[in-house]
Amino acid sequence: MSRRLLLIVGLSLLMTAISCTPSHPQSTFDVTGPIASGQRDLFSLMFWLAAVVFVLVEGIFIYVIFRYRRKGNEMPAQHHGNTRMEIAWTIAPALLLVVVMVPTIQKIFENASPPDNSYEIAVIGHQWWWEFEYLDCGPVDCAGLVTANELHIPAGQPVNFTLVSEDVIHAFWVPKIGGKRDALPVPKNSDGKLDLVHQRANQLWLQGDVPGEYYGQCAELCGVSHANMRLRVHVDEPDTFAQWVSNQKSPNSLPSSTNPGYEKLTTLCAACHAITGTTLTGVIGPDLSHYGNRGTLASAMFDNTPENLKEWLRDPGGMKPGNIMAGSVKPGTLSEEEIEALADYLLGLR
Amino acid sequence: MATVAHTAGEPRSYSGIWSWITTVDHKQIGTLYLFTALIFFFIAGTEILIVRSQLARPDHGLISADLYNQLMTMHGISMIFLGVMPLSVAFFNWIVPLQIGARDVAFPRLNALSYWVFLFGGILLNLGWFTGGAADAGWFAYANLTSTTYSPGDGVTFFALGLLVLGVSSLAGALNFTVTIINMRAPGMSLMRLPLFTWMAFVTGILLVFAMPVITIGLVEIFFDRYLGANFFNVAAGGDVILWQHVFWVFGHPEVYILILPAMGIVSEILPTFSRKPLYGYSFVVFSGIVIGFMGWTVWSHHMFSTGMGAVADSAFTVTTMLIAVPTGVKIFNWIATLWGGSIDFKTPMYFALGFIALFIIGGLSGVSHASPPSDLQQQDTYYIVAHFHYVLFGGAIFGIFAGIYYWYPKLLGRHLKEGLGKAHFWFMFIGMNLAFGPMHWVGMDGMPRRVYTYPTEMGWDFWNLVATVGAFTMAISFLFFIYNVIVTARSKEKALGDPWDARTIEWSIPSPVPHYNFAEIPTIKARDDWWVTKYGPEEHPTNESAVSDPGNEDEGDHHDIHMPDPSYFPLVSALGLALMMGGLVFPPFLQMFGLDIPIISVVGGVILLIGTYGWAFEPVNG
Ligand code: HEC
Ligand SMILES: [Cu+2]
Ligand SMILES: [Cu+2]
Repeated sequence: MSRRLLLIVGLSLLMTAISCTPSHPQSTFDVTGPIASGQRDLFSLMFWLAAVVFVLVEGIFIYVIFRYRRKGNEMPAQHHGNTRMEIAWTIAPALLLVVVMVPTIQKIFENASPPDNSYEIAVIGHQWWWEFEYLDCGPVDCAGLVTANELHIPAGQPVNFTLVSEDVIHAFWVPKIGGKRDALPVPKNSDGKLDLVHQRANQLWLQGDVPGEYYGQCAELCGVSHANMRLRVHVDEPDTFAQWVSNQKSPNSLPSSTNPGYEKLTTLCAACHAITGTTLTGVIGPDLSHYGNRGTLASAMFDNTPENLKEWLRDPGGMKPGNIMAGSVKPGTLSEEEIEALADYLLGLR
Repeated sequence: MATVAHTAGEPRSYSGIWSWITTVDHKQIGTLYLFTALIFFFIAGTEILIVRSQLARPDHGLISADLYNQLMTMHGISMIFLGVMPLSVAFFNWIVPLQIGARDVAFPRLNALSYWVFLFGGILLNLGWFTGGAADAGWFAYANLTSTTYSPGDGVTFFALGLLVLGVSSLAGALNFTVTIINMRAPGMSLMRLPLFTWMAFVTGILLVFAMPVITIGLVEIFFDRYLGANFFNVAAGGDVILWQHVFWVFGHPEVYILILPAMGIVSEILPTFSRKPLYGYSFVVFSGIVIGFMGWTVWSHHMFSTGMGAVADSAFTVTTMLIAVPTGVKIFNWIATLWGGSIDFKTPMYFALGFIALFIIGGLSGVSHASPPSDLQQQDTYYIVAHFHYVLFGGAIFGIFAGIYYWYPKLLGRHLKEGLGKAHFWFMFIGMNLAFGPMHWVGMDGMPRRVYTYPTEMGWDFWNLVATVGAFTMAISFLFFIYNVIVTARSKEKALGDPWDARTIEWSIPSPVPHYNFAEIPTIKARDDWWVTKYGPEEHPTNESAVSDPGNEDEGDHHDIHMPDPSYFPLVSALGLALMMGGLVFPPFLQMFGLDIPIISVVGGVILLIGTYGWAFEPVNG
């Protein structure tokens, strides 16, 4: 009696523990779009088949070890085997495997090539942040748009991503929209840009159906801050997407030259960062155009609050281990006045 | 120096520590392997306890990201190359000659060399800890993270050099045991009478012989890239990072079977003994082992579904990978059928063997779900995979190995490990293992990638990570029971019998501990499970009256007439030379000559190696 009570209490504690955790932003079960749901459905098929096999085999196993425990000093019959049984349990699992093999191979080919009307976006992995270069959005004029760490795509629209890396292997993964694919390093063309048609440039098409903000994360060990190489995908209503694109393409402007941050911005920051419509054209770090519209900082590691941004400008290395900006911006590089001014300026870029 | 008893015409023999240093006896070498590998195993375990402590809470700052990467990398490498593999080799050494009715392996000094090279290779692999940071690119060390640009410390260099050295050990060992099994079998021991463990050792040996050269090539490429500025994996210069992945997994997947087949062999010995029945479907279990060995070469790219190989390659590797589940299933069914109708005695080795089956089933089933690329793309590089391979490698290999330790300990070391402590060990390990790795299935499917040193609390992974950490420490406690057991047992005076488990194979027909010449008389084998047939006859329904008495634990007099190989310290000298030669490539001092930097330590090592092999070749052979 008390045992059963214990079991019930235990189970309900477990259930609360599972359900109490606030949200599961990278769940592969609670998904959107054809790719992720297809992958989930295939997993479910295998899971339930495996569950049946599991219960059956472990059940027999447990039955056997209890049923045949040694009681006295009995001597069992020395059975050496039975060919018919062997054939049966060779064929049965093989048949079961065919049941998962067929839909698997169907799905592989189904997902292999993107629908004709797909938008085209290049994803470039960097240690440890993501760069997105919009190449073709059908009716929306997005070509040339570059942004970082927060991707916007329209709902219900297939998007074909070309994945490459600037340095080591990364893997682009937004679990609720679809499985991962590696961003492999490729050589640069003579214009200094990564070769997007290289044989190691990967393709992946995805589609988000329900508008919302989705979490993603690099899935291939890529060095010290691999854990911090996160991203967000905003699946927007098509109108919102078009607005976002046109806003993103509109030029930003520099602060007045009397602004205390002006000098560092146009010299130090300019070496690595670009802001559209200004003299900042660096390509080592994330594009900061319309940075004030971003919800996150440092590849979705932090919320983009004034406090976090100021701390970032004070000591990026202390906030994100190993990051490249910390090589040039160390504690003390910027005065508090400059930090204040630059943070104001960046958050004002809308 | 310790005592040397050597008169002309009589074999040299040493005692004390010197006897261990110069030993060429397969049993002593097995014991050296066992305890050395256990020490490495506990080091690797400690590494991961630190990692699990870090991951117990979200946003935890216990260790740095950098240290995390080193600990996680070294945990994996050490568990595989310094833990599970040499633990299996310990059993090859202990058991194979005994099961085939031989007095030693084919090449006893080469066997000693394997051990010493393993020991020094293991140390070399860990040297990074003392020179500013161990390897940090994960155990499969994906290029180009292993280049000097992205991993500038010496850790990855020691990884490459250490594994190259360990490869020498594995290759020598594998050849030695393959030759031993082919050539040294007692009269009547036909292949289809070989005990299952020896069969699996045979298949493993062949896999190793073919797999080690592959990884050697890859490691040499890494090393050339790092040391000589070659461009195998330098994309800007036309190198290819995917090349490494193919080379690595062409080795790496057979490696998985190198890790698991010996444990399967162990379990296939223990189940029949403790259920008093012959192994069900002997030939099917043997052939499924061989088939797994072959098919293990056809599935490597299932580790690479995310690299974009294309639909055709993905489909092909799906089919091969799913098919390999079939022979694995055959083994499991035959094990269960062995238990069926048996008379099961629940001794500690049996606990671990049954634990193996229970857990391996789970690992096998989860494996099917990532044989399917669309599903795998959500699982690859997540904790789901970590869960899967710990169910097969910890739940499988490690449970099998501990089953073997408890089973053969009395035979080789002459003492019984205590049953009570052994069962406590089992339960803590079994519960701890499920607490640690079970929840990882869930957090993996909930989107937690592996190899992250931290995670934010909003991801919803806190609770199960904490549980996993509790599980890891529960397993750690289980090993304290084991260590205590070994110590208590070593102090106790109780001696083991020759055949304490009422076993079936011929290693139990001789006294415990095994005399140094193994068999006073080379046995003639008349049946599969020869010792059982000697005891109870070949009938299907025997009575439980044994026809012979227990072989006991006394060495029956000295058999001076039995010729045994002489001890030798040249294997140790050669191994030391080899390790110095390789390790010295990294260490100063360098001598500037002919415009080259000549590494002095390497040169010294080379000379020692030369002396070692020269002395070896010309060592007078007694007899
Ligand atoms: C050496 C090149 C370099 C310099 C100089 C540099 N940055 Fe950065 N910056 C980076 C890199 C690289 C990142 C991405 C870091 C990461 O997330 O790992 C970054 C990230 C940022 C981010 C966060 C971007 C995002 O998408 O979340 C901001 C804001 C930023 N830098 C502002 C500045 C400012 C202001 C300056 C001048 C004071 C500056 N940076 C100077 C390289 C640089
Ligand atoms: Cu990464
Ligand atoms: Cu594999």
